[in-house]
Amino acid sequence: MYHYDHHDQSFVEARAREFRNQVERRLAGQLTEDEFKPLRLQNGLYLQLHAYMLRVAIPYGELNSQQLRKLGYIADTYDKGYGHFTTRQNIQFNWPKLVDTPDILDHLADVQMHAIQTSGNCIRNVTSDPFAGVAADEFIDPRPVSELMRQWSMLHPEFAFLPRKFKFAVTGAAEDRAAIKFHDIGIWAKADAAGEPVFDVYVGGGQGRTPRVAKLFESAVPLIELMPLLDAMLRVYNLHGRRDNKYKARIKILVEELGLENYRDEVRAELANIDRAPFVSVEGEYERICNAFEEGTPEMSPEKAIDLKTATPAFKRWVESNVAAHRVQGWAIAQISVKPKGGIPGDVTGAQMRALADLADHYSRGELRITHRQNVVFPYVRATDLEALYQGLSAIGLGEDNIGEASDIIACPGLDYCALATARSIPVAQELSTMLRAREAADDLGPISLNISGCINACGHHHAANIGILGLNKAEKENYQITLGGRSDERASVGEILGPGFAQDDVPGAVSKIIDTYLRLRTGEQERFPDTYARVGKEPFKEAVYVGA
Amino acid sequence: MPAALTTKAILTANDVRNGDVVFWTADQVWSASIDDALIGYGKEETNALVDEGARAEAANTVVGAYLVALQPGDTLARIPVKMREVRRLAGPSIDFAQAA
Repeated sequence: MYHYDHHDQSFVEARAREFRNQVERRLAGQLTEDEFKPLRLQNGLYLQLHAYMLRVAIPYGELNSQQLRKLGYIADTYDKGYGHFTTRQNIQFNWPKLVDTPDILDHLADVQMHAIQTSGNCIRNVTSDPFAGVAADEFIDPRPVSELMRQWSMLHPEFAFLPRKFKFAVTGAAEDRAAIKFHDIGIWAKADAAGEPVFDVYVGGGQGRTPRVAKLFESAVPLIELMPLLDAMLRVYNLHGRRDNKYKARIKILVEELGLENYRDEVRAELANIDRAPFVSVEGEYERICNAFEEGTPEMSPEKAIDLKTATPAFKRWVESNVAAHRVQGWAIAQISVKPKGGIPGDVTGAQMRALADLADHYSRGELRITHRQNVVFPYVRATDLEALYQGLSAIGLGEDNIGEASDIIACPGLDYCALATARSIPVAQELSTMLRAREAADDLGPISLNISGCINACGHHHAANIGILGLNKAEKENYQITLGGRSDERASVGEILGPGFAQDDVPGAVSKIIDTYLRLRTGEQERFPDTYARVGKEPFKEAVYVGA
Repeated sequence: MPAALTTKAILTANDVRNGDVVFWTADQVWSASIDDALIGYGKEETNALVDEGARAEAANTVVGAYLVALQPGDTLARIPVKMREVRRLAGPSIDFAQAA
């Protein structure tokens, strides 16, 4: 994996020192909350419903075991013994004290981590394919360009106060596992005829109260043109994006109001006049970053494939559900579900973090990834080590065999933690998980995505789910609206509202009826939920859920 | 800080240093227990609570002070009108993290 150079390391250490000074001045009464708030937000420190919350950046979701151990230490020392993996591949701590945050940032800097740009109207953590660098279907490793973008966007002086937050995602494989079309800008790395990287650039995607699938802005952009293009795209947004209404301030609204062609014309005009001097070193820097990733990736020679003939049923199920194809024969990508039956999506204890770090050292060359579906990936597992890894994971409560199944639920913190939420997400996820695990044991439901958001801001990605659930406040009671047919892959689409919402207790029953309807109407086990939905439409589902209810 | 409520309310905030939810009490201190919260009735008393919140913010004791409207009535029950406040006062409705 990539490691900080001296410049990066000095920067995060200096930033931690700077924040310590700001906290000291705040506590001494030299800064008011109004003065301090933008400073703490620039360092990922929110004030949530019950307490402060610190969001720590995990660039493109990649961690090493030392970093995870440190996160476990922070969870146990400064929080209540756990952390929460987010849908931007980050981690949040829900109970840090302001007085402790300077020490926490020092600890993070010790392992090349920070909390910068995890809040505010700036370019947020760049997300990517959790299988990056090892996926069997990969064209181009998306991490080097993601790292290039991290460096470009970090404290970029022009883009520190954008009209609204800005989210990038990058993938480089045939299957989009990074939901790039639900981002302000999504980048799809491919290889040209000579094997050189080129980039399809999508713009104007997003969720929230105005969900949109991103549109193709330009195809096959060469590396040397990519960074100036992104700069020009951001400049046009910075200039013309609305600042009068935060709900209309994202780039998706600008693209829609201008029209894609007009936006493209504006960007091209900007690009024609842009100073290229800052970008002359991009190709060399990209090559340096590529080399850094390659140097950190041990040689993987082909090894013996796994033989499941004598495997226990539990291990066999786990392999079928949680293991993905690796680019090198005899190796495997192990996906670790952080969605135990009835559990809290994405929550891991400090003890689990330390145990995962140990397992990563033993079985994944010390490296792991956090996924936007709030799970963990071990990218370098020998197929012959999978059973021992499975046993190790089961021993710490992380051996669930449900990756990609309906019980692999995305859920935002909701009204149990979030100051913006209108309803709780986690208890709904827990009830659904319990119901769905029982159903998955009895029937082959196939892959289904089920995501829950506790408000219209859609941090739980409900719009992009096959089955989406949105928690609302209806006359001071929690009410849950269901959407169907969304998907976040390369065929991205926004889910449609099924009908009137449900009380919390009625949600599992409604979801169960939706699944019954899918099982009844699918042409076979190969037809996935969104394909059945696209073929038959909303009505059969609506009838099943509402008629005779 | 929002304007005063004219019916029945308590004053809440977060402790600056540790972020804990706290309530203003009749003893003129902040408490972590809602049971200690001083109830203001009517415009004059709730205005006084608003002023107290502003003073505490200026003194750097608390952050984000605001009034929580309570269900009306002369009882001492401290039941918020808004669901959000009910949840905030109760704390998370779930056990933390996974049982390993």
